[in-house]
Amino acid sequence: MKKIIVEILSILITALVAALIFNQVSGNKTPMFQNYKSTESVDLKHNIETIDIEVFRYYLERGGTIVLDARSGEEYISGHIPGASSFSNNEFYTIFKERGELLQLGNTVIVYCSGPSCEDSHSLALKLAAKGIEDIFVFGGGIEEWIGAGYEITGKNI
Amino acid sequence: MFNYYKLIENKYIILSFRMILGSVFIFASIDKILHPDAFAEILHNYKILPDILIYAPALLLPWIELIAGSFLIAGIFMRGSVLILNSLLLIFILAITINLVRGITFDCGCFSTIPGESGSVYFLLIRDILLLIPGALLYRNYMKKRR
Repeated sequence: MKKIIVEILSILITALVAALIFNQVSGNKTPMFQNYKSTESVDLKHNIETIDIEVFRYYLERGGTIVLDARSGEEYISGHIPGASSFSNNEFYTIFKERGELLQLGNTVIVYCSGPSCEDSHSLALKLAAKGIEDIFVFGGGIEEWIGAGYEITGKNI
Repeated sequence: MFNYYKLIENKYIILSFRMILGSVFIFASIDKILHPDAFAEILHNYKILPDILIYAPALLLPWIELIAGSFLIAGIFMRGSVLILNSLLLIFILAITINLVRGITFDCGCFSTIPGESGSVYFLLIRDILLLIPGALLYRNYMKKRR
């Protein structure tokens, strides 16, 4: 038993030392004990524009715009902006495999989630941008602002 | 009657199991070592660990996989290596199962930090369970030798 514990500790210490050394010498230095902070939302502020409800309405009326609901499928079914498609941020990779090509046809893509405080729309926008979709905006007010402004919501429309 | 115990104690079978298990973990570790931030995001999406405990396992776990996998193949600290690798498999199975039960869809990050590269979560769960077979047999074999 003692020998196994020594073996396990040796492996763990070797891994710890290797990880620390690699983390120090690699260009991509990661903090070890710090609250997790998504790098996406930081990058997003520089790369993807957040639009208000007036601009959002302009794009809807102009046409050629794909609106994506970044909330969960259940939230989407319970009520969403008319014409929006469900594209849950949590299921991004599965959904993108199925429907990603439709987003790469040159249309403007606008994503939204629950409201100004939710992160799913920002996260989804960056993931889409990383997949090569260029013309993309975040409707920052989300469903909260949409309902608050008196616009209607609708049921399932996947 | 065919002696299965003798078969699984065959040195070539044991060597194959070591190679399979070791190389799977080495292969699984490389991309995660090179992209710790992406792996941290995957751990975050599992929604199991608190935010303060995301970066440390994101940095350490791939190195543990690499070192234990390499040691198992090289024949160094084999009992410790196989015990660690089996424990990791059990942790992965538990984490995937918890999220499947909770209905949370997530990217496994088992082999790659690239979104969607790791394959279906159900496939990964089955694969991890299957990998436990050589892991458990190796563990049984080494513990038996020790007695």
